[in-house]
Amino acid sequence: MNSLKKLIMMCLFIGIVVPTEAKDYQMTMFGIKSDGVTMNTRSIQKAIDFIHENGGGRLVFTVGRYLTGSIHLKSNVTIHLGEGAVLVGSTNPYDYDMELNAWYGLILANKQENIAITGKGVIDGCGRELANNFINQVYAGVIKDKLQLGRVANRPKLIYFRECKNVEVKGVTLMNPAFWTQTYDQCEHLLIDGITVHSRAYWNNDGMDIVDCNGALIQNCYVDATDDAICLKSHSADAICQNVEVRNNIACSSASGIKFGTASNGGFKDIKIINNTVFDTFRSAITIQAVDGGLVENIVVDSLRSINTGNPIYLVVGERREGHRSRMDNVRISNLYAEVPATKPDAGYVYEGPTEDNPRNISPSGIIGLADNKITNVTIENVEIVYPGGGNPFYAKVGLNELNKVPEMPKAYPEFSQHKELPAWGFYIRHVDGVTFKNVKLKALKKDYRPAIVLDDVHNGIFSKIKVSEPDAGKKDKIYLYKSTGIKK
Amino acid sequence: MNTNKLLVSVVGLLFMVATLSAKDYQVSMFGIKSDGVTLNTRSIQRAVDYISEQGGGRLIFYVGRYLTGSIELKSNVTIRIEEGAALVAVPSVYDYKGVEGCNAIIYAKGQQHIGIGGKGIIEGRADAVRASVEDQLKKGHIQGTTSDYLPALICMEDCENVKIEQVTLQNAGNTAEVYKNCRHVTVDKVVVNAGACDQKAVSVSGCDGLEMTDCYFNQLVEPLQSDGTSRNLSFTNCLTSEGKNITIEK
Repeated sequence: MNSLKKLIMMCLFIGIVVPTEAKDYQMTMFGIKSDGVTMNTRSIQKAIDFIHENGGGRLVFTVGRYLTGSIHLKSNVTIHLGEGAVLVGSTNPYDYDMELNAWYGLILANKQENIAITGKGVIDGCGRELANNFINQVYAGVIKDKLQLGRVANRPKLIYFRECKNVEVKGVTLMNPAFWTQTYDQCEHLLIDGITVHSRAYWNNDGMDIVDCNGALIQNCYVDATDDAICLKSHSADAICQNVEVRNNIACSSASGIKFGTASNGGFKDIKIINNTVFDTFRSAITIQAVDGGLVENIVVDSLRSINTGNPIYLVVGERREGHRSRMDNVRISNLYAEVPATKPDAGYVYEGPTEDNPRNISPSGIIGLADNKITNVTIENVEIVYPGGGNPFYAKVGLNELNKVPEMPKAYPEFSQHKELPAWGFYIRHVDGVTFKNVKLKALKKDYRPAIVLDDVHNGIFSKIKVSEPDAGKKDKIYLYKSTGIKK
Repeated sequence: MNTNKLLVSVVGLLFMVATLSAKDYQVSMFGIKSDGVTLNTRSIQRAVDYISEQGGGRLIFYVGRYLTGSIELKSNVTIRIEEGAALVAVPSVYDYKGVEGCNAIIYAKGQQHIGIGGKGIIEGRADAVRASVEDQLKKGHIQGTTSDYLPALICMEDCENVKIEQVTLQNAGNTAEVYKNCRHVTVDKVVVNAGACDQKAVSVSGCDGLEMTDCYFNQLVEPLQSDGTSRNLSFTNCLTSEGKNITIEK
């Protein structure tokens, strides 16, 4: 009797355990072909639907090239790309679907749960050919597009997930998209772990976009992209990007390495950027932009290395549309080491960042609010930045007696170089209330006509243990104050 | 005054000609590939949609093999397959419309003024498609019988003014031509190569006005299947490989 009971219990237990275990389905089961020429879209979709309807599991791809158009991932389905397996995106624009009538993607999901893309395999978007085929169809008159800047505005991404919960993208290599590599839009509990992004096949190709997500961990990734590499965005004024941690990543870009924005409608809250490296990057290592009316608060950036990168730090508040007032409060940047080159840091990229905003000498880091909308409570601690110096007033000049010449640019597209020449070589800080600089080392390798730090309309600041080194600096101020009050040096 | 009248009438005539003559669109314009390996389903569909949106015209396939799954023909569009061109069925069962409704390589539902013409071929690759269907049935990913999933070559449902001419239809996995509840259908000089297959070549039901002329059915079994629900059917000089004229009377 007892043993019977035990048996029944065992059976029940097994009955409970078995269905919850993810089942593996080999792609061959669905007639999916690895020859690189068979278009597998419909077969892969059938496989996903079948696994989804049968309680979930993994669709496993082994070595081979799997040509496909858009596929729609469904709840409880994992696409597992084994080592040597390549999901190859079609080069035909018409093989792609849109999600929300707005975004094309190779792998799409909307309102799905427990979805994942895993394995050591590759997703290859064949982006250059695809983007050019889009242009051909515009010239043929079949696709309508203004071809602004010579490219079709909306091109397929590799991944577009919207309003999904429990999303995992792990281990895979994402390469050659025709557009932003991957967008996670209003997702919850997102894990991106150990992926490699090679996004150099076309331009305006963000590495990853975390849009209005709640709860995301991005870690151990390598991202190389011809637009912002790791990018947090806020597309919706009714949403906010929050509880995001970006940890142990390496990024390289012909735009910015780690960026908040430009779309910043709802804003960013409780974000940690920990122990990342940005190298060979045209624009900023870290830039936080509040220009669309969103709230930006409680941001921690710690242990960031910025090597051969055009600008270490750029914090900016703007008002791109009148009346949409943003807010930036409580940003803390610590343990940052940066080397800024005298030459173009992304030289040699197939799609280099555009040389613009000249003439200007090497731009300083910037913390720039608006006269009527100040950035509040910024801390810069244990930071060391090596600049090339060499600012030449005969090339471009904003003297300390003409600080009002620096334009207010609330409506401009925000970039660290947007003001052209700035009057400092290390830090330019304007319209800020509450700023702490502690143990900050700024080094210019050559004599520069500008001082290291300029404060304009800055209030309630503490500057302690500031070390500035510049050859033949003479007696000029290290920190120059203008219209500023309550500054302790 | 007279010259003015003349001018007006000439302009009017030109305008009429311009609107009457259907515009021709080459498949290459839509990135459709003739290599026999690129699956063109979505590009062909986009082309058909585009031409229909533009008011109609002919989509012209020149020499080459054009791999495709199911495509839906839209009003005022004619698919023209020139001599040397073949629309070739893709083997995978999942590239067809499936068991609901009109399952075919070219299908149309509720459309008007549509056509398929040219001296080219629609190649059904029955063996390859059947292999895919049977494989997926066996694995339990689809349910039913093999014939449920085998596509026709042409299926027209609830359509009006349909014109099929000159093309060769071969190796259909299922009935080559299906006409359901259509009005004013003309089928002229169409060759169906079915060989030893025991499928019917043409299925007609609920139609009003179907005229078939100078067609040839290269097959041993009776090519026509009609359930008696159609009116005004006429068959003129439509022959089987044994020289029998096909008629509506059995």
